[in-house]
Amino acid sequence: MKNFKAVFSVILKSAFRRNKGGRGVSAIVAIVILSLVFGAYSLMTAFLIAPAFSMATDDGLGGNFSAFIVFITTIANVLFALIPLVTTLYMSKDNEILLALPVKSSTVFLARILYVYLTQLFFTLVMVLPMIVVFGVWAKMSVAFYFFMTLWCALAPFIALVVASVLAVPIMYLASLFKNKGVITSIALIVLFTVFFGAYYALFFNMNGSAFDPNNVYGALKPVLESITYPLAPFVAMGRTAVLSPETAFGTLGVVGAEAVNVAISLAVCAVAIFAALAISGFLYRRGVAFMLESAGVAKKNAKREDRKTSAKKRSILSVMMSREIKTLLRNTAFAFNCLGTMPILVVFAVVFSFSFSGDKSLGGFAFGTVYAMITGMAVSFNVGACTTFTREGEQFFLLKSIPVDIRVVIRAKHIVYSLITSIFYLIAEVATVFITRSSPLYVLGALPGIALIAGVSAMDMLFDLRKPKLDWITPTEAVKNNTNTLIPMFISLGLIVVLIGGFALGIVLLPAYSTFVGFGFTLLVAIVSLAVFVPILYNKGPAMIRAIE
Amino acid sequence: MLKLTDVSKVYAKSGSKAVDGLSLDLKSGEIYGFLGPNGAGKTTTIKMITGIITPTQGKIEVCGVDISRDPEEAKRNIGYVSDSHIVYDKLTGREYVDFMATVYGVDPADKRKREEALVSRFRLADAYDSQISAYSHGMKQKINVIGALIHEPALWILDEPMTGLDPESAHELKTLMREHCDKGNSVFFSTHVLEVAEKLCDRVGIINKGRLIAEGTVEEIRGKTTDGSLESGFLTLTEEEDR
Repeated sequence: MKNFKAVFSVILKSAFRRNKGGRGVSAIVAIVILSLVFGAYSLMTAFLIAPAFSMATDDGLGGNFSAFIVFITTIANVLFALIPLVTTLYMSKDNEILLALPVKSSTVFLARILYVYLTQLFFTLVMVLPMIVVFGVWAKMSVAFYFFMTLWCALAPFIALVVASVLAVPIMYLASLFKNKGVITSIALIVLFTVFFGAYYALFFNMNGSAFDPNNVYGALKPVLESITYPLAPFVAMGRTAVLSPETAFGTLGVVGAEAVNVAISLAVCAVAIFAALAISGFLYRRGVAFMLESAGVAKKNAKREDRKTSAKKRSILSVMMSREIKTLLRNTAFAFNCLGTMPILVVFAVVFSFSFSGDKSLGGFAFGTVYAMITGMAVSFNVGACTTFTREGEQFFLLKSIPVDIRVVIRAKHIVYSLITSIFYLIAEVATVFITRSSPLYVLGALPGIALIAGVSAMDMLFDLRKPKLDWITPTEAVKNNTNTLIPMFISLGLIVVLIGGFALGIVLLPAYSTFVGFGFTLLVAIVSLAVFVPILYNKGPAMIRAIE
Repeated sequence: MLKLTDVSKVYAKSGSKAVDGLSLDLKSGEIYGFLGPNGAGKTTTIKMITGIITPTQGKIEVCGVDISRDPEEAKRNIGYVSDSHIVYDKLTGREYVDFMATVYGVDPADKRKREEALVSRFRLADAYDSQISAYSHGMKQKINVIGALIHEPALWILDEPMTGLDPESAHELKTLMREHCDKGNSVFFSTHVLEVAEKLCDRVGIINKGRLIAEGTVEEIRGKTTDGSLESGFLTLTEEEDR
């Protein structure tokens, strides 16, 4: 493949190399940190579920359980491959220059899809390898288990890419019917993401009954595992290779015969997936890129029309800057998905947690407080929009410094937008929690200190981003993913969950009859501290920090 | 060298005709200035010639090769300097030129010889091994030009090439364009700077609302005005078209 190496090498260098003298940590450091976080999470989950896997193996369902792992890995990959696939293939800034070069579009396409596959593969292995090792050791599996599970999970991103490529078609087509296709694409993806996670968590918590009992997990999983043999036959073939099962989907053939048939089925499925992923994405690639490039011309014309409309309305500078922030966020699918995708999940979490904890009688009145603390902490930690608001400006950042607008108005606009968006979803989550836990309607008032906390922590998030904005991105995904500016605020915010739960616990000890209101009061106290510390710094030091960035 | 026959481009989404029945013929050794107001269709035309977007109708031939039939072969004859910055700014100048040389299949010995000459000519030697992100706008434009010329293309296409260049570099670029044509190659460039077109071009074409409204030598265009300047010619012709 002529020029493949040159193109692939340039794509890799552009994605991972740090700017010399640039600000912030390199993408590789960010990836290592993210891997450690996800790896640790995976390890924890593995230890919780390993006993259930061991029980399944003893019951002869080890193959189906392994199949389930590969299946879940594939589904997770579909979700997480969709945005990188769409943005890397169709929205990269270098599409134009590469199209002008004497390089076959199939070469560029293969280089890009290999890049998407390798990034997906990396995160898949980070998530799955700890699980495979823990399950294998716990259930005393043979070497075949480690080998085949790693192999199938490594090929799972290809199966996911087929689905992602197919899903990309209706999403892009649907988007093309509307003027602001970026917005429609973003909304479609966020809805898809929410439905997936909603279904996933609903299933997970329904299976559990009560939190994390391995017997309950296995008890709930067993009928699922027994029922997947035919619907998920290709995955079951993969799972059964890993446990050296004497069974195929077609019957018992003894270990050697069944292994040969299962390996053949699995390899055939993977080969078809690789071919289909390349064929579908390849077929769409040139058309998709042309569609995006030509749309840029149309967008410019639309922008002119909008400029006229905007000037006619004579809006205030603050509202103009807020509107600009929202439009630039929503019209870029990668930005919208990564910054807003977690917001509906907050509501999903609230619903699922409320059902789960309200059923746990041992928690009593503490149930609402626990859910409240969790969704408040999550609301502030999910605010990726605030954490990347300056980074996402990219080269346009310097335009902000040149426009005749007080830079404090720009900061205020961003601060209001991200506090407001998170607060809206938080309020919905809060109302859902009150309703599902059948708590007093007065508890909705608890949203007020929560919203104050969101405003305070949003200011902190923006300060972190302003300290070292990563302005030199090529694909939008680079700006919002692999970005350490989102990690530190996220950890701090997650720590807040513990602090806030502590407030409710304190209430139970000090004033049991009013423990929830003590918890709200405690949240308000934390919110006031965050507002008093971060908001003045953001508004007073922020303009100087912006001026210092060159 | 470059032949456009009845080329049109309609953007599917807006239905607007960005380029309408454009025909032109660029000979060897000729510098062609492509003039027009903002939104006239200059960049769309250049993007069609370089294969970035596909014409809705018409035929584009580069050195006798139809770009729609054999895009790789047609593009091999083109050196393109776009109006936007180099996007690969995490590469060093040398790495970027290496990449372009590899893609165009330039022999390593030829590459070394040409890059030495161009780097020294544009006084980029000190910055050549630094990341492009650290370059000034003018330096980025220079490395863009070096990348576009490393394979000694028969047709050199530049979109607004003078933007951001200091007078010395702009002069160097103009000299380079003339020298390129003197070797029997051709240059096709768009510009807003009428003085550049006036001094440099063998022929100019004026495009407005997607249509080529005038074409000829600078003298021929001047002849269509009362005060005999290219600026008046440009303004008169585009205003007539707008009416």
